[in-house]
Amino acid sequence: MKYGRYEIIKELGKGGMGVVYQAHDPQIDRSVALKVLRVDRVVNEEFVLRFFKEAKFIGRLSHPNIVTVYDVGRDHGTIYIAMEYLQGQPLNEVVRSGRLSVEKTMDIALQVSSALGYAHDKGIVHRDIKPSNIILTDEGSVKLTDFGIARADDQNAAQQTQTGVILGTPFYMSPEQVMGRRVDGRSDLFSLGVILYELIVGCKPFKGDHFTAIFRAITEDIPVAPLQIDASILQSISDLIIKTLSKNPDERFQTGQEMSHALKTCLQVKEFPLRSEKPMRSKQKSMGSFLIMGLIAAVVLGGAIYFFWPHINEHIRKENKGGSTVTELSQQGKLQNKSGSLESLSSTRMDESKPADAMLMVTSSPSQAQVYLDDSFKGKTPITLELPFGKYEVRVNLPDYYEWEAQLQINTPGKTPLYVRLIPIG
Amino acid sequence: MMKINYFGKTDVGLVRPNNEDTFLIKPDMGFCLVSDGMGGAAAGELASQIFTETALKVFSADRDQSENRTVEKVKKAFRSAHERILKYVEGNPHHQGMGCTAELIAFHEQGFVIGHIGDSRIYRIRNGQFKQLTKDHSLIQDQIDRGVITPTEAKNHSLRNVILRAVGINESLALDILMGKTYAGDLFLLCSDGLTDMIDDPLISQVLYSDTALSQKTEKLVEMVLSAGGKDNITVVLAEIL
Repeated sequence: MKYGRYEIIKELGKGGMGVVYQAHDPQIDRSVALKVLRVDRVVNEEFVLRFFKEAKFIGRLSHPNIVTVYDVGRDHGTIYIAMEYLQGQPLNEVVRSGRLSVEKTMDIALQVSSALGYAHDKGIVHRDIKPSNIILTDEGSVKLTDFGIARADDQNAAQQTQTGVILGTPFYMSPEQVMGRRVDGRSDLFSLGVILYELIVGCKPFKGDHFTAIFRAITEDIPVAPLQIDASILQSISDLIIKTLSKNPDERFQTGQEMSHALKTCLQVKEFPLRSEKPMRSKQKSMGSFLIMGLIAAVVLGGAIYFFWPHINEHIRKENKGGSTVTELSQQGKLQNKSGSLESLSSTRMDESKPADAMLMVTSSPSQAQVYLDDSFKGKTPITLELPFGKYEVRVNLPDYYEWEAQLQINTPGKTPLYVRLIPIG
Repeated sequence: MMKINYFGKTDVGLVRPNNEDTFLIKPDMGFCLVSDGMGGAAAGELASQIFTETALKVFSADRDQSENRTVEKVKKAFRSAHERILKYVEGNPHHQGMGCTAELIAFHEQGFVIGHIGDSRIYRIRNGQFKQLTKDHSLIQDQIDRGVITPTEAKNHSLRNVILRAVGINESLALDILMGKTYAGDLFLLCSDGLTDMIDDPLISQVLYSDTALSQKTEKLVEMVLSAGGKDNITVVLAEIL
């Protein structure tokens, strides 16, 4: 099978718009990636001409982080694009097999933002920045692909008035894209910010079960600062990500170069906390957690104590032996606060505003789980929290375990132990 | 049984190579429908055909035109078509995204039952009042409702053709059922977005108000769309209660 002069070697992947093959170019004797559009996607001559025009622009891009487009042509009633053939893995597959280090993530973002800065200067907006369009080659470089081609598709959709539904989930779209407004390079930088958030924090900044919910989140929700979710994240990185995700394009980085510069500054600090590269769970909260929630939610603490009686009893016994556990817990809690930076601040603020009435001692099995009180990160288990009486929503979270959550009514002075046994996923 | 006059027409338009719209009028069974296919040329045509065939099958099998039975038939037509399309896509995964919008109005002794999914529409003229009975299941309608965009912005929205519900797309089917009484003189218009995207409502109503036969009204609407550029397939079905 041939498309133009290109001999198909094998299929590499299939998408809604067409098929990508590994092909051979006999003229230059090299491998190419050949993207062949689905025949029924070639709507009319106008579409073909626009596609070719678009490809010409893209063909002029020459950047180490952008997949080079060699050629376009027509054959078998459709259109094909011959591109640089890369051996590597798209970012979405890379993270599936293991979470990347903060440093590596920042480096990828730096290379992508530099590629975007270059393309934007040439007047080309990508419009479809997502992990599957970022290739990590076997040689260790980062390559941005599908440049502009997706844009041709978008224009087609808009101009052809063809009804359609969105397949997949549009997590990486910018607010202006969702609202159907004119987009410029800053939209691409927003999408890169979404990827950065996801890679650094371990969850997406804008969530939803279906795409209208995701669209609503993108246009309305202010994402929780990465630092509030994981206290080990540097303030500078957290701030950078939040700036990238501003709803108003004027409040974001204005150019890829500006974002690259900010990323470089963060990278130069080089004080990344150690993080083991664990498999990423984008959806820790699943049926299991709801089941547990159903059992425990809205149970006042007295009930919770009863429910976890054997474990709590053990702690109480330890305390009775001389309070050593309590002391240890408190110290460890403070240590956690030192390594992070914000939660010590936030808990201080809380303590200032409300006098502490009770001490909630949260322990978990396994330990080192993140504890959130009313959506605010407090530290890792074991931890003791000084709190005024009141109703709190407690969440305990550890990668690879179902999230635990419950509402607690704390109205007993002194120490209130809470033990959480986390259930592993899968 | 009340007497109803029907007339329908579909046109490929001036831009698209094929017609993915389908319509069907069955006066003896008391219903008519319009469906707009999507998901690529072949798939789109097939989806709207599946809907039409399924509805015909359901209404042929049950000639009881009581209100309850009519509601059941409308629901069954949508449900069965939905399942058939899903099953087809399962066996033909390259047709993922195939589905259709659908408007079906069925008449019974006391009134009408409408089944609606997508962004095709049903309007009604009663006592000189032109009213859109169905609400588009589209992204822009959702954003207008939430106050995110204005109706003017919606006209230039790059995702204005994205619909939130369709027959044959998601696992579950969310169907709008509208029921009401009919009165002599009521005129119902079923149409695909090929009409409403190209011509504003006031112009459509002017044509419907004109003292002409249904066939002339239908011709006129299609003609207006074509002279405006006819970017999409156009389908118009009229049903007048006598």
